[in-house]
Amino acid sequence: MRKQGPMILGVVAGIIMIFSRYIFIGRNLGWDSTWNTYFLVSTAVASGLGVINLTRIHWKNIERRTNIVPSAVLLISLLGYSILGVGWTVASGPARWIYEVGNLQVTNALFSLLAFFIFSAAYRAFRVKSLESTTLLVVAAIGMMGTAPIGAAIHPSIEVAKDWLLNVPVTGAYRGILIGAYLGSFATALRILLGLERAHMSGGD
Amino acid sequence: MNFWDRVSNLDRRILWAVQMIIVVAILLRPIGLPIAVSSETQLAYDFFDNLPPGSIIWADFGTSGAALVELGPMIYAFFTQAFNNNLRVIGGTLWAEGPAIGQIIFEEIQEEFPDVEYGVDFVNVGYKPGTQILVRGLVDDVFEACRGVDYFARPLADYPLMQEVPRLTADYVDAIIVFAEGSPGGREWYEAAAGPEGIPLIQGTIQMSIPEAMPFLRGGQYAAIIPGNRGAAEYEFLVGRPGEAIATQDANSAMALWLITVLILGNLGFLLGKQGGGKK
Repeated sequence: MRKQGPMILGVVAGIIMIFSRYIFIGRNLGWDSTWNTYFLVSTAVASGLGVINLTRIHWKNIERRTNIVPSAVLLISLLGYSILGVGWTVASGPARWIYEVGNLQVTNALFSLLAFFIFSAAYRAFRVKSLESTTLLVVAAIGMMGTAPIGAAIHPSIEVAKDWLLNVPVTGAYRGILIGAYLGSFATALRILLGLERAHMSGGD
Repeated sequence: MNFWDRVSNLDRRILWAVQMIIVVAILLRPIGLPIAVSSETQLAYDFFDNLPPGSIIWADFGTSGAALVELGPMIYAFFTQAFNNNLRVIGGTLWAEGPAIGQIIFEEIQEEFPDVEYGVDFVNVGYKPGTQILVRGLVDDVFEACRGVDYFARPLADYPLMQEVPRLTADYVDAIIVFAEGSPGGREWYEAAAGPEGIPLIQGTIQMSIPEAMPFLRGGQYAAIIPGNRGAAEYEFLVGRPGEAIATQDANSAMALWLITVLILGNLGFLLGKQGGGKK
């Protein structure tokens, strides 16, 4: 029953969602909206569960005196910011100030560091070792030069070539990937609805 | 290790140091290379320019601080165009940090447009969890999906703008614009609202996600896209409010040139050095 229970629950929920979303009578009954509310409540409960688990793990770290500093910083940030948010809302007061002068600047700076790592990674990776790697190098060079204003300043055809690459091969390939991904999701959803897919229920057998 | 081997294995700290010097120098002394406007950005600009005054746009500031350098200038330019054309904006996002970023930018823009009033021309309904499910909820009932309050926890019913938008459908909203750092982004808004309800959708995207957005633009699902940092610069130019994106374009050009130079050197070193079977 440990496996049948969740499986039956999944199948029933899936069928109700299909009935309420895609069938005229279901839409008229307004089940769609009710189930949306259930989903939002479940999301909130899952988030709460995540906070409890995170707190437990890092509290244990502090008790065992392992990784005390990172765990303490995480707990203070998590609980402190939550208290500030509940007390003043995140839109104003100290919560907003901390976000503006702290979080926003740090994430911005950290993401900017990627420019350096990507640069050195490109220098090491883009080598004319084979036909494939040479193609990658040429396409990357055209893409880079075509995107920056210098490309058109050197020769207008660089930007034209970049646009062609983006509009024809890249769009075509990405469309294929997307269709494949959607078909895969559809097949997985169908397997769950038919009770054939059990990998998401802990065991996999 | 001969000369070419050394060239093919340059210390990355040297590469980074030169990179930093070039960026700082160009930012301090810009060259001012001309920026040609792409058809994609022109499409987005023309779309908003052709909306009648008073039109309502739903905006998702779907970004965190990480992508602010690309999406921030777009949001500034968008607000400028919207308020220049007397368009009204409702900010409602699927990213937890989005409402804060939207609000910060709105408050800065408000200094340039003193007549623009919160509640009349702009409302920030804030972040709500649920992605597509939330968007479907907005289609059914905006007030219920937002639990009746905005980003500041004030009642939505108090705002004149919100009284005109009971549902997220084409009857009440003229367009959706999504400034998307990643997922959830334009696709979620298209699948749950823009597509089924027939609302035009415009996506401002980061450079990395342009290939992902292109099939939707070419397929007609998106009305337009603003492509990356370059698109933001073009948008700033069209709106007539030069900002950070235009300022960084010369640095982008210099960086592209420096990287091409390094790639040529690295490959010459690889081919002529020991690794590539050159002279031993």
